[in-house]
Amino acid sequence: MDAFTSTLHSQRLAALLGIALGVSFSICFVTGLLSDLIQAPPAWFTWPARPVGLYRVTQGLHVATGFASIPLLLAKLWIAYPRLWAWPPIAGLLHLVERISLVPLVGGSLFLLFTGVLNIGFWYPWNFFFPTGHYWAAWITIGALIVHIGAKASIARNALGRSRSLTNAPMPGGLTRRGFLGAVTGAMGLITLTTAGQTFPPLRRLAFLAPYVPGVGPQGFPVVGTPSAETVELAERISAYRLTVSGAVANTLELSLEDLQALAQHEAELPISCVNGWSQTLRWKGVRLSDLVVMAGAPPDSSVTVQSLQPGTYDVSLVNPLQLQDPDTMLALEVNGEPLHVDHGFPVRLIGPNRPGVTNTKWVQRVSVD
Amino acid sequence: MGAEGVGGLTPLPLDEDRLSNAADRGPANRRLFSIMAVIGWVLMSYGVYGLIINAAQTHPSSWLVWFLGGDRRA
Repeated sequence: MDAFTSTLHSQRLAALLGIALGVSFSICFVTGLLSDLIQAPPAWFTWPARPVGLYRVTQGLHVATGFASIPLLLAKLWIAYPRLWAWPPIAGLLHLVERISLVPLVGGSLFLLFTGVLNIGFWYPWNFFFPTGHYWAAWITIGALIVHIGAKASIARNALGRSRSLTNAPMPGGLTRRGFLGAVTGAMGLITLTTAGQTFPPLRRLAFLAPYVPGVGPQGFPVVGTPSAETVELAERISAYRLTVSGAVANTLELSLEDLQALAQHEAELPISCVNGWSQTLRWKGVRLSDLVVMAGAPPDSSVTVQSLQPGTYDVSLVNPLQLQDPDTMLALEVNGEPLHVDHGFPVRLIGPNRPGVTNTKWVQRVSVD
Repeated sequence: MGAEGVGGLTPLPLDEDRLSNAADRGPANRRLFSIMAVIGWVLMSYGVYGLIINAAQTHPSSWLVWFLGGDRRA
């Protein structure tokens, strides 16, 4: 006897939501993979400095599609869960493989969305390092998704080929299938409208659910990663500050803040694009990184490592030759016409086009030519 | 639940579009499924391999508990 009487448990709805989830998870996977490659580049990968806002778009998409996937996934799980009680549960080896693959598919999907949302809120109630755990979970989940597509592609094609009028009858007093799909689409739209403003300026006033709102914070933009007491103390004793340019150079440089201010200054409007999904365009002023490298007697097509004076997970970042040669890659001393606030990296921070926010190292102490 | 639905209402008869708990015989296109299953399990194995070789960062036992349901004590 069938225990699941709602007509919303429909193959057609499952197929439509499955396709939407397949698209959103694929976007999340590709953009997430790209973000990981940019932050920890292997030898064969070079991320360009242009277009300036490309990372802003890819990471904004990553977070936005992740948010939009939440109602999609919950709806898909509710529609399909009667299949978990199918009896007999296994009808052969291939069916066993299909059923086992549901564990990483459902577990991985929930894991990715749940940990992703908590990461945006900087809440880590687990022991693993979020980017690494999230990254490898994505491979497992995308693999399970491919298995699921292989199992369901024919069924979905058949379901989508049926007449819509035959499959829209509601339970008495209940939602039609079209109404259910509309509710899910509405939930996705609402979540997107109330979060996308963190990176898409026209929607900024609607960003009620965005954890970070551009325009809010010291000097008019959010702070991610605050200075330690030691960093604040060093920033207050600015006469003791020295920036060192060393490594594969003819002359090692040691420059005070005054020395840096006396060098040729460059200004550029660049977005700061956080891995958490928010971004904001600001006007930066400082010394071109390539100028410092040339001053130290190294070729301008070098790659360099920029190091913060504050130890931490993101205290070092790489600048590849394409980024170093870009005229807008600089060690910024000012933002929007003011010296940097200590929360934003005073006295000196790295900023460059098309770079993830976490790689725009704050409180820079050393530039090492590789 | 028997033939009567919620609140004593009689549900509509099952149609061919319904996703029920009735038995099925597994993947409809066995050839396609076999190919996709191999690709999918290779990717899943790569993910598990990555978790294990990066155990210092991933803490696999904690990761697994969260993967399977989540527990603050993990």
